[in-house]
Amino acid sequence: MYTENKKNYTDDEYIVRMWEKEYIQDMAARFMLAWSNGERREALEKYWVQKTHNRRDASFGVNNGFYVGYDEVVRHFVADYEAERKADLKAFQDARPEKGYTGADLGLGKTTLHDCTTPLLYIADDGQTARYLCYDVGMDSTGKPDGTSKSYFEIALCFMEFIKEGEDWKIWHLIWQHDFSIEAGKAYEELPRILSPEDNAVFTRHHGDPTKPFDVYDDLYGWEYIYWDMPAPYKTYEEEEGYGPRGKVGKKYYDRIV
Amino acid sequence: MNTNLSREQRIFNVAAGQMVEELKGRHAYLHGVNFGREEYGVFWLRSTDTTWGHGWGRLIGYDEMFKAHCGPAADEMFGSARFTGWFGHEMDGHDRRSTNWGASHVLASPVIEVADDGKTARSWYLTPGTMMNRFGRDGQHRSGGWLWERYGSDFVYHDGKWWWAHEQVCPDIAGSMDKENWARTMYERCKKGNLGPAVSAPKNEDHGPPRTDKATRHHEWSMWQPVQHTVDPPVPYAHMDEENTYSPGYNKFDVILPQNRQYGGDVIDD
Repeated sequence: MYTENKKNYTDDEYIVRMWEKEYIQDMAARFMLAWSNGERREALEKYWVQKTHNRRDASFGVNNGFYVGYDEVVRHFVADYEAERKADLKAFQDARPEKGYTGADLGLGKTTLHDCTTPLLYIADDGQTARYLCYDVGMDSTGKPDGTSKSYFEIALCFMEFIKEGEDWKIWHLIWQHDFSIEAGKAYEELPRILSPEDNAVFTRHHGDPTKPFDVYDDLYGWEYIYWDMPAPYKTYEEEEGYGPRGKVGKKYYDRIV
Repeated sequence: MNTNLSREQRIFNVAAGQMVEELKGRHAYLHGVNFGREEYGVFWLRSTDTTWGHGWGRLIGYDEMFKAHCGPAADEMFGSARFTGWFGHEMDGHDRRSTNWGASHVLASPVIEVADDGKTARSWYLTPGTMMNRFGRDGQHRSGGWLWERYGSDFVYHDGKWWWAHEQVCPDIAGSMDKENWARTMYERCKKGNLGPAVSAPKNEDHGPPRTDKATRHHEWSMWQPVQHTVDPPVPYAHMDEENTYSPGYNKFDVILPQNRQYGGDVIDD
């Protein structure tokens, strides 16, 4: 494994790198909170890449593939989400027409939290990109007009790749490897290892219809490739080692061992 | 906080704090797949004062610690040998260490201190962790657990690198997600007359890894138990000693490291 040689940095260079490390981790947390709050369009505009050539290559990975290009990320991360929230809101409006809800914001009845525990971050030696991993021990609840809800703990690995645009760090590639959905009040250990179509639909409901469908993460084998995929010291960005759609995440052992 | 450190010492200590975060993160993910070799073989200090503790005692010395976490017995710790029987050729080529296993002892609430002398660092973390797997014990049903533990960790700067030297794991409470009323479970235990504190598994000294120190070091929660100061967060300190360590009795790194220089036959590279 390549080892970052900190002795090569001057004190001032080292201070900048440490400062940027703290900045990037703060930014990851800010993005996850905006994601949690359903402020997704704003989150992309504020924290994701702005430059045209970076947006062309931006990607959002889920278990069944990659959304490739900023517009496709918007389609999945914003448009699909807003369509679901409109349907939720319509259900409230239809159930209680006397209450109105006509002016209610999208997201009525929705509570979601994504967090970023267990951070692991390395900035490339050249200071232009960074790789980050956290574990998202989150939750997601969708309320219904009758007072019930569908509520789950949602647990996932979250890889992010950052790139510097001028003086700003921006999210370039993100992969959300979804591990588990655990329904509130329902014993997970009573679920069969092969899920029913109904339970499997719960698990896959965040994944959608990716631009580049392929098996990015097969939870059958757990974090089988974590040792190779987790951030480690590196010199400079290389596409095949990165977290984009042509990167290493999702490759099976027979594609990795050459 | 020591305000008398030089600019260089401050930079060094801040960098050390970030390195502790890195090592803790690497451990959390590698432990999550039971990849002992990639962790204990790579960034743990090869010394006779390296220790790894749990409720059931301490593994003393690098050899004892490595043997418990690596090798065939550790690889099969979570019953992965059974998967081949359950899944046949679906397992061909895949790593059985990670299959079925998802012990994510996520890290929260860090407190990190670096010694004034720059030779050691200490960290305290809490995990509101998960212990999930897809096949449970019988291969038919899933398993979803949660656990909360405290971790005290000591690190040593040696030959230009930070190495993990001590770990003390303190399991407090665990349960099944989203099934168990853990307070009720404790109540039922008490009704049966088990009023004392619970010792973290394994329940007696004949279980678990062979270890030199079999003295109980932490108890699981009970309603008859006062606060345990087993691993309190580190405070600012000048150098590692018996008051500033998570493994009392095993802190003489200044003395032992020179003689451990080729410990186990492996030269520690710069």
